[in-house]
Amino acid sequence: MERPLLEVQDLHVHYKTDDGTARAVNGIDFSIHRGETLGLVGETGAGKTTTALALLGLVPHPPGKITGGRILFQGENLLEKSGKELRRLRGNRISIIFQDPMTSLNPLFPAGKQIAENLTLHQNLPPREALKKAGELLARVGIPASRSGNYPHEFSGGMKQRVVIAMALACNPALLIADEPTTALDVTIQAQILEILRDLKEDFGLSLLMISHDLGVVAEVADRVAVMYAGDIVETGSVGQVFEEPRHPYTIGLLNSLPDIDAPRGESLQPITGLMPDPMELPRGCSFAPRCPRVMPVCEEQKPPVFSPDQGRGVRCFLYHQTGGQP
Amino acid sequence: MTSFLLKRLLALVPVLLGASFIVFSIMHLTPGDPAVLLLPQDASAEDIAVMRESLGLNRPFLVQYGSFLQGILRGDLGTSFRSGQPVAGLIMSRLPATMQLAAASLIVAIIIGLVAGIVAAVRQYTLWDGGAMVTALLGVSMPNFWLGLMLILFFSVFWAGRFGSVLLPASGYGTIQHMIMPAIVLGTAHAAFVTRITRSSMLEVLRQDYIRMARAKGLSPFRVVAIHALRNALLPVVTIVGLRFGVLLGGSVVTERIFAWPGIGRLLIDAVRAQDYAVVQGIILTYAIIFSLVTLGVDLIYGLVDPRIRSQYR
Repeated sequence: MERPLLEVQDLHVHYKTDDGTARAVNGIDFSIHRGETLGLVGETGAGKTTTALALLGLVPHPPGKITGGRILFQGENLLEKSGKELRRLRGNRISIIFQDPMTSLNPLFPAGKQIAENLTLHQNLPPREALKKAGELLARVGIPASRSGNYPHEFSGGMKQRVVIAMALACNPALLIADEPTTALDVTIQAQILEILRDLKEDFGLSLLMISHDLGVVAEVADRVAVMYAGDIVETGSVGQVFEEPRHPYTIGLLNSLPDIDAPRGESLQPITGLMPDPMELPRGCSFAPRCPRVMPVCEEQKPPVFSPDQGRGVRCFLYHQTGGQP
Repeated sequence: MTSFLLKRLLALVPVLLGASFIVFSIMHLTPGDPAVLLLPQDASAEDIAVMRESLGLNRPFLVQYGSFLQGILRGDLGTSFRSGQPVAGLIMSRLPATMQLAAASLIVAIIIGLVAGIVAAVRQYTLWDGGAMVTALLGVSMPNFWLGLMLILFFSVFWAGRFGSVLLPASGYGTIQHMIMPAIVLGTAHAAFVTRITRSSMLEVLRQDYIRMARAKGLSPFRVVAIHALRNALLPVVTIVGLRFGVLLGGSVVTERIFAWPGIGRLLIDAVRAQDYAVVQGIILTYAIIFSLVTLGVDLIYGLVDPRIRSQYR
């Protein structure tokens, strides 16, 4: 099998504060193949954005620090690269789209110029050519090239996100990280943006890391899914596996808590009781144990390793220890 | 933009009219009769009355104000009681020196303030930051007459005693060397203000998403700060520099006095001591005009810096 484009191995990210150490990411493993879309889902505070920032070498330091693991991009460990080498990758081979398009663009520069900046930086294009190409990129995401000279405040939220997408794709990256790219947008605009992302992914042949707390969004665009909880990836599998046959009690709870339009009226939602643990005081064993309906004594003692109950699936849960997959 | 400029210039008219009225009223209400001052000590009451008549001082207040305004429109600010020279000419001959000093000290303030503020923000909570903030606190707290005297003491008096000649001249006007100490004295407090406002504004901007985006684009830390952050952080700095220009002019009165700088600040002090009303009046009005123009300049700079503001300039 071909080597994955991105392999994350045992990644740890901690934030040191005066009150203690917040363990935001605690030894996650995942990989993304060329042309593949991995959906990273989880609640707010599960460590999704920290993971994205770690991939770019942008974890704010201090207080944040990558304390262990490897990030292999095209076979090279990004954590061993110098700042300069990382800068050459950022915005060039690996791009990111942040959550809020309203604040992602610098208010003082025209949209086209902000896109052109990537091109002059990474492809050494002369300014004039870079601007021309920026116009073409805008047209590619559905904004007339003539608006290249407009400032961010002259665009709507959905259009700003298109500009951000054009910016991210300017240098034809191999990996695009989309951190909640539709969360701040209206539902109709969300659909348009997802459509654009899907199109461009095909055209540019890129791999996509789609981060979202919205299971619907992930189900729509992802090939595989990784479910994140309190800094751990608790379950991975194909979209079909995870959404139709969830294994981890957290994933099961998450899917049960979704409103279902086919459910009889008046039936109440089933939330997961309790809250995600404080990253400063994570439980010794499984971090989901305090909320887990199927908790066992071992769960509170030891952190479960990853079991593989079926092909292509990983579950971090003792339920799958000896049963050969079936709980 | 042109129409905006015209509108703003037109709006200056009522402002200056108000300023001139206030200046004139204050002078009118100040005790002391110019006629008495102009005549010898032993002048008779009759002589005084004749003098008042010839100066027009016995006319009603508003009539006097009217003729003062008329004079201004013709560029005539009256005549100095003391020297007999036209006030406008006196001010114009002194204005360049004051503007040179103001410009030099502003440059000192902006360069030191911006650099220190940016370094303090980028290296927040480090020794750099602490050092800049303590220095800024000292700079704000130090009275400029004291700083002026200390500089003279060191660079002129002590230096001359130790090495035989002064490093910087203690007073006078004409060369760059003459300018250095007054510019530092006048610029110090402003540099401190600019440092503090640059730091806080920069810290605010550095937290913004578009800065994280700029880093994610692969820009070097220098370009992130110099291109993406600094321009965004500049608006509050421009505001403070503009607002404090009035304080700068006020400070120049003291500084010019200390360094015997031939500007309008020293002219003002001399005029106040001699109760030379026409000159005092003219200078205060000049200050008002300068301040209004600086405010207008600040608004124009806003537009240059920020396209969102520019789009409102119609």
